[in-house]
Amino acid sequence: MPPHKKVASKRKITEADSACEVEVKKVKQSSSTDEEIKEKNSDQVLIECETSSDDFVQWMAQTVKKLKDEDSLRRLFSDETNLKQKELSINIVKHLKQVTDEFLVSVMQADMFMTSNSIRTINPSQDSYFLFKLDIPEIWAIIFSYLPVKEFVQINRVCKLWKQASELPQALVHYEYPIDVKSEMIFFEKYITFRIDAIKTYTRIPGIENMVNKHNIKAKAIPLDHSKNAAPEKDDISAYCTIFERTDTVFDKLKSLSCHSSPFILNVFSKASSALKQFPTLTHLCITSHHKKTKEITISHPTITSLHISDFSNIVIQCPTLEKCTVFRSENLSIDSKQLSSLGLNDIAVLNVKEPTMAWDLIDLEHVTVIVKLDCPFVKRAYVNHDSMIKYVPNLVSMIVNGESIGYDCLKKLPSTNQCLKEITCKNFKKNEGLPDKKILDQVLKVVEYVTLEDCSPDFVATILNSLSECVRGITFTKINLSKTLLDILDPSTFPNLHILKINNFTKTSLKSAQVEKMLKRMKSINNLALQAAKNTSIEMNIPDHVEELELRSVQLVGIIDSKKLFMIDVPNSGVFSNVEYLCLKTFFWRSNDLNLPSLKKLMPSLKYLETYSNCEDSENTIEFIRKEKPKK
Amino acid sequence: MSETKQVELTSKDKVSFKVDRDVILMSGLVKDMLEEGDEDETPIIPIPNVDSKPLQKVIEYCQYHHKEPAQEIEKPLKGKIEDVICDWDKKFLEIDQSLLIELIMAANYLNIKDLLDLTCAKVASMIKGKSPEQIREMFGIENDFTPEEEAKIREENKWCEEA
Repeated sequence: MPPHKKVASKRKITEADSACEVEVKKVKQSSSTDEEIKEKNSDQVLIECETSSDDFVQWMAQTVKKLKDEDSLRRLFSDETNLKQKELSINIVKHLKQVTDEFLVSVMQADMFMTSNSIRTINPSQDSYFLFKLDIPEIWAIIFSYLPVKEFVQINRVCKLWKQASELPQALVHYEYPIDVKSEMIFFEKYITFRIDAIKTYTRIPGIENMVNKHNIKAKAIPLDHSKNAAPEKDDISAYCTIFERTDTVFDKLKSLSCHSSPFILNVFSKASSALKQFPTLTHLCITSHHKKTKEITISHPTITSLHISDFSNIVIQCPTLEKCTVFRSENLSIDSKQLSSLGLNDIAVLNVKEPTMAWDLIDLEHVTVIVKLDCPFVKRAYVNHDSMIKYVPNLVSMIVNGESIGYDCLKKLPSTNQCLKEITCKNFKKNEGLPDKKILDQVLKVVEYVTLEDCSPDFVATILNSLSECVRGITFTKINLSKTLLDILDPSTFPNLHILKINNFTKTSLKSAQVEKMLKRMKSINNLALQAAKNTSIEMNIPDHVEELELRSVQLVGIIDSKKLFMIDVPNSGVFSNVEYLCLKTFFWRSNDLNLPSLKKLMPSLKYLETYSNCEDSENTIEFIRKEKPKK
Repeated sequence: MSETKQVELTSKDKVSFKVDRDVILMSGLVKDMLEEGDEDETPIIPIPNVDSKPLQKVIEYCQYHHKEPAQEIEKPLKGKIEDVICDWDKKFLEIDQSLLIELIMAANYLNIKDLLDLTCAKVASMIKGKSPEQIREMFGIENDFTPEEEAKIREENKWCEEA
């Protein structure tokens, strides 16, 4: 039913009551121009009119009907009538006719106002006098329905008529309000709940109507303010679902949808899985829950290829075309997909992957507690946290193991299941007891090329380094208390192919720069060096000429002492970084106006590439120089 | 070839317009009235609430959109109405405000939804972006709230203004 139907029906009743019949002597064609209308209006168009609803109007109309012209007027009077009296009477009746005509028009106009009960205020002195005609709340409601919500909620301040009109259901037919939770709840209860049936469009995502008309446009919901946490948990969310389900024709072109912590959308997804049918072409979906992990969710969709879900207690994924999936913080995760190639998991209690996953490239099991079912015989890279998981990933090329959860047993079991491990990352192996035998480790690590040791005990680090073969090409130490003993293990005869060395969290207290310098001096194969100083630490060190790529992270460059020395990096008298072609400065704090490209080129004459992500607090020249150089690599 | 059936509409100011029956069937009111009448004659339908000028515009609208169905105007309006309607409608709406209001009344009376939507959207476009005070000034509307009533409404709207 159109919003104005009620008004129109009132009109019909009025029309029937008046039963007004109008006969026009001069018929005007529909194609007539305005000028023609004016011309014909100026003629004396006579009418015959009858009204049956009102005696007075009826009498007047009948009288006028008889007074077609002056002849008929004259016939009203007998021949004996005095001529003066006759003329006077005729004039009186002619005047009466004119008044009657005007009156009849007024009666018709009054119809408009009789159908409206609104309280109307006009100011006839204003130029906008015409507006007084438009005092039908239902029409204003239609007008208001075109206003954005934020403007709509303000128009009730204009006048009583507008307030009355704005309270009609049809005055708001779209739901669109991306603001904080508290306000959204107020808005919802105040403006939406009583007009559920009138809502035709749900727009939680700003501008969605425009976006859905284009392909491959990503839509992203406004994240809600977690700090307020004001969204009440509602038992009855049927109203929200109802609204959402009315969008079936709105989202039919949407490819990507992100819903971050929106209680309304989450309620819809969690309670009404059929809501996804509103997005028949969706390929990318990202849903993050509200602050509490209390929701259940079922994602069943025929076209989704990429999915990210976080903070739902129970998750069931039934997406036959799903290729990439990341899930954070879930107590129970069940996936049914034959196309899955990448699965990232974090803080998952129970994992159940129902279909065999042949195309898996990376599997992250580090944060999974229990695996119910998992078939991925060809996976090459994995993060594991339990030795029993190794059976699921027999052909690993890359593995990350966490000593806190998996223990040393994992390394003992690897030889029987893996012969091709090329990359290994060991984290949090802090205990000294229970270290695996060197023979076992030798087998596990015999073809390993890249090793990362993070936050491990010196004994564990020494054990690993002693078990590595000459295949090793890169070693990264992170949060390792490097000692002279450990550095002495790095020898050219043992590691002839070591090209990359990264020392993160470098501190003066744990290691003297001279010891590192000595190691670097003998390890001439190292041409890629990365040093990351610990917080509030500066390093002074000679950089040997064979280093071609130097990466400095989180170091404080105080300034250049002279053209050949950096305060932080102590260059020998004759030493410039003659072979450095690539310099990467990350989290670098410039404090000198002297540092510019010419001075750097003096220090590093071979420098070709400079990459920096610096927080510059320096002169404009320096910043400009960085901007110019940044795109080079 | 059979002759097109016509309908005769008579305006409030006693001007008659002959219109093709198929065209004027866009009006729900006329459609209902024609269903009750004799199809063999050219029916004369009084439109006592609509003057000839807006009635002529209504007929003009129906004659065009009878062949070119009007596109639905999105709610809410994202910008000006001129950005979302066709060129013909743009030109059609180049009228003074008085006639615009008469057109709204006529569209409502005659129950022509597309025309009512178009003209209402035009008024909404005029309101859009203006504060209540500016709207009152623009339309010559007197603030008929008591200070207490207005303060109450302001308080109720406060959540939105702060957001």
